[in-house]
Amino acid sequence: MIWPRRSAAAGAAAVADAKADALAEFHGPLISLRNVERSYDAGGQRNYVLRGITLDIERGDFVSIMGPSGAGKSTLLNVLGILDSGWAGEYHLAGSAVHTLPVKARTALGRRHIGFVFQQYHLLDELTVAENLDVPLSYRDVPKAQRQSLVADTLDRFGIVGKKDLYPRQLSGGQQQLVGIARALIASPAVILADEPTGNLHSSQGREIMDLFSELNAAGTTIVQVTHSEENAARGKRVIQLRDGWMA
Amino acid sequence: MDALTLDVRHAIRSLLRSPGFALTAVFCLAAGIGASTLMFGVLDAVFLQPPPGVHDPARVIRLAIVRQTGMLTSGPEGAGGSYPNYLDLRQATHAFSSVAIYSDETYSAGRGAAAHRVAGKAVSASYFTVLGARPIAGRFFADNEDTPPGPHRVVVVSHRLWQSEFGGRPDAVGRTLILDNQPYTIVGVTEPNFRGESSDYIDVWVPISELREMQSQFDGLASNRLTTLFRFLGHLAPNIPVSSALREATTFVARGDASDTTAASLGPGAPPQRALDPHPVVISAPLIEALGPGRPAQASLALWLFGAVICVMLVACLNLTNLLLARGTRRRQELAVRISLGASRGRVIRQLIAECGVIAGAGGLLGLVVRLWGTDVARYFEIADSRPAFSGSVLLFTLAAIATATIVAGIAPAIIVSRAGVSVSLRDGATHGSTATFRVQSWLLGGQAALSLAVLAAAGLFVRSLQLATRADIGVDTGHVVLASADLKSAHYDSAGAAALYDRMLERIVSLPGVTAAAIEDIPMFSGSEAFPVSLATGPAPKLPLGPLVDFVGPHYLLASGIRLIKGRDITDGDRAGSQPVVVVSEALARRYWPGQAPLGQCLKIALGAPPPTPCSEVVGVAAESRTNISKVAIPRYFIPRAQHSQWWLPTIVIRTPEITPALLTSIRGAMRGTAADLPYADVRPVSHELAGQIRPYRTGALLFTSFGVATLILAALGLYGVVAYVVLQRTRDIGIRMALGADSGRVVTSMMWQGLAPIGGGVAVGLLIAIAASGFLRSRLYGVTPSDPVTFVTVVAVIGGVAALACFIPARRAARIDPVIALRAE
Repeated sequence: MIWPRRSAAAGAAAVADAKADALAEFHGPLISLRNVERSYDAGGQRNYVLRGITLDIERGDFVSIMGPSGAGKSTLLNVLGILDSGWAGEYHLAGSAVHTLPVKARTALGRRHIGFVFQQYHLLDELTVAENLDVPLSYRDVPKAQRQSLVADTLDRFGIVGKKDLYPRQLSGGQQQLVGIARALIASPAVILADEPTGNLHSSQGREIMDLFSELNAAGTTIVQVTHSEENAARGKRVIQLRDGWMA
Repeated sequence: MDALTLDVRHAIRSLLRSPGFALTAVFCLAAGIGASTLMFGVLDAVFLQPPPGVHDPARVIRLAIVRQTGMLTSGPEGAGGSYPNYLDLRQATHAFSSVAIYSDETYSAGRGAAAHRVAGKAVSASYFTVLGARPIAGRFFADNEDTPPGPHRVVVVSHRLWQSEFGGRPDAVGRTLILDNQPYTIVGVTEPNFRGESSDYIDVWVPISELREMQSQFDGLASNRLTTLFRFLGHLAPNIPVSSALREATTFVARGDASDTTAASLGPGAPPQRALDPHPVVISAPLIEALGPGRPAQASLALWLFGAVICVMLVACLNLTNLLLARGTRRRQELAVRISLGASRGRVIRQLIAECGVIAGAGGLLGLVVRLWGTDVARYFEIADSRPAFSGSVLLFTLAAIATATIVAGIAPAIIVSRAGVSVSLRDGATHGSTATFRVQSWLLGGQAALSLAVLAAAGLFVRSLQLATRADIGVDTGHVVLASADLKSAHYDSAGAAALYDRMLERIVSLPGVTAAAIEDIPMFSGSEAFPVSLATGPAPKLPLGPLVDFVGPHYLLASGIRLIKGRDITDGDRAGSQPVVVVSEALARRYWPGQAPLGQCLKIALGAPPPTPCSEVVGVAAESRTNISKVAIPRYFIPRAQHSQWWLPTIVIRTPEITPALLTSIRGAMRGTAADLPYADVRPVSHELAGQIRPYRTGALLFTSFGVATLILAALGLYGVVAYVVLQRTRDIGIRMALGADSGRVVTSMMWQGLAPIGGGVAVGLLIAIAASGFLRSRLYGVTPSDPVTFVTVVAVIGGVAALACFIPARRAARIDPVIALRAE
């Protein structure tokens, strides 16, 4: 048990109201990739990491990306998360053609719709739990009073009010990942991208995190996870297999 | 604003999490900012601030007179003038609301053992009006108190003297202050730190009419135009430009000088001509002395030192840039997380710059503390005065330095670090630094090495100058000679009375224990000597580029001063009035006047002003070269018995002793006072003290340049150490693999050291070119050493190389101790 929590999914849904209005006008797949490729220059030769990726992810979907090491799973996640801009092909996110946007606009779009959960949690060490939750909001220029309210609400929803003044090093791995998920959700993204979210946790903590993902998905949050675990992949609604950069 | 506050808060938290980095960075910048604010404070006081207590300084100008012909020919910077010139200038009422005249004086304050020397000025009553000064007690001079003839025995004293002599009591006004044995009534006290138009401390101001020369019928300075003794100040009338004022002033001075038709011969055999240029031109100079042609040597040195501290500041900034780059690389993962959480690149850059700003702010605050401490050091070296260490402009400069450091040191790392790919950074974190980062760091190291070399080269040149200046052989036994004098003229002794008094003093001093010889000379040893026309028995003397200089000396002078006698004899008691005139010549003079001949017994005719025919003085001795200062040029000179030539200058007793002790100086002073109860302040000082003033610029330059040079070297070494340590960290896996493959520790050490020494080598090469080019401008400030002195440059390069090798070796050796198993496992 990580610690008791109240209905996190319900709270997240409330926070998402504003963005939901914007998304409501759009009726296609939330994410749509057409023939996406990613390659690197290797001594004058192109080394392809992703080839011909075409997929659609609907709102409320829960997709697991699987494959052996070097298959391109994390690269695909980075493309989806608009952390990587060196790909070719077409990418539509919530109706916006990402491939036609300049880098700055892509970043803004990603900031608006995507939240990240990392295998190593990547909490900011010098900030407390509450301050870590505040960071994504401050990057979105949310006014201070509103930020404080959202942070308080999220702490409450995830049952971590008692931990708000602790630093990441004072938390267990599972607790840190819970804060990581709370941080990913606080800005009400349309989709959460999770890269091996239980990779650094022991099995019981991993199960609890996956329970939380299931709950969030049930409440409407779209989730895309990269995982090596068949058990975790089974929590999703469908699995995308990658091999040598190709969708199997 | 909220975002900025958040950035700053996060920056502080982030730095607190890395106290080692934060402290190193703050101390680096504190050294740079502290040194630069210190020197800025000096420059501010010397170049930018008007003298304290002067109101409306922009309207106050110094006035000088340029004369191109006659006896008072001046350079283009002009010279002072006469009291009648002052009266001329006062007629320029459209140009100036007031004009002042002044001259620099020293006085013996008090009587007997309590007497001491004070710096003073003889001024017109208008002096204080021109400067807009206000007394804090009493008043300044009334208009009728400065008009010759006097006496007007009134004095204005400085706040400092008021405090030291009278405890700051209000009733000091109206009391008596003894100056040169005369009672003066204190009429006013100046504001604290007021020193008139001067950059030096002044303690007393007396009316210009109190000058002895103004009252003397012989000098007659109240009506004599043939002098440049006095200086002038003018306060411009409202709305009058300087050029118009000078035109009007020139008109009146030219009219006044035209009325003086005195004729004079300007050289041996030259026909008499007008002594005064009939077309003088009045020119102006700024009130701030350092901005005018009379810039003190210390002001020029301060400019150079400011250049050196700018180098310190730059090295500190480059160092911080390097530290931030290394830290940024270690934080790539964290920054990538921030970007993945929604931070724009601009926001990340702002965050990084905020961190740099916090470091710079802390460095600036600490730098102000450094400045506070450094101000005392600067005062010790007499390149800073007593003004408060902090002023508005100094604080503004500190803020500007903080902002500059933030921008110079912060922007490049922020841009470079924020450019790293997010996905790669999230995956690899700090384990792989970019080649671009290392390249930038190498350039920065090279820049630091170049700047360090430039400052250290200047330090080296000054140290060499100091060595040579200290060892300069002026021909006098400087370590064992004491000079003693008292201003008997101010005590109103006539020539005969003063000469008798000095003879009595000499008698007492010679009998003191520890005194091996003593003699009187009539021209103080280091105040220069007067030249008189000389000729030989065979006709005119060969023309010399300089000299010959004359010194009127008493018996045993060469023995007392330690000037080596090469041939013949010293001046003796037998060389008295009426006996055969004799002369001791310097070796150079003998060589020039009687080449290839024995100088002893030759005839030197010295035209001392007596009507012709000029008698022959027989050469009875040849002395080794001696100089009146530490300059390399020994001017040919000769010594004649004072008893045979009745001249009245400023006598000094030259005393030789095996060891100069405070007790001896006290007993000499006591012996002098014992001869006359009313003797003014007796000035007794070792010859080395006289030379110290000449050596001081070299000592100041050597110490301060060396301090700044060492600071840049330490900063550069820290930066080098940090970069090599960073390279070792980045390449731990690489080193582990190489060692697993069989690389020995020597190869690893060499490889790691090369990473640091290669850019240093490049920087040293560039620095050498810059330093050699720039040091040419230092030529006039050096002593006995060329600006491209190979010893200095080889030493500096060796020092930098040695320190750099050490800074590289420590982390390189650590790299060689890496356990390949652990390194590969960690990866």
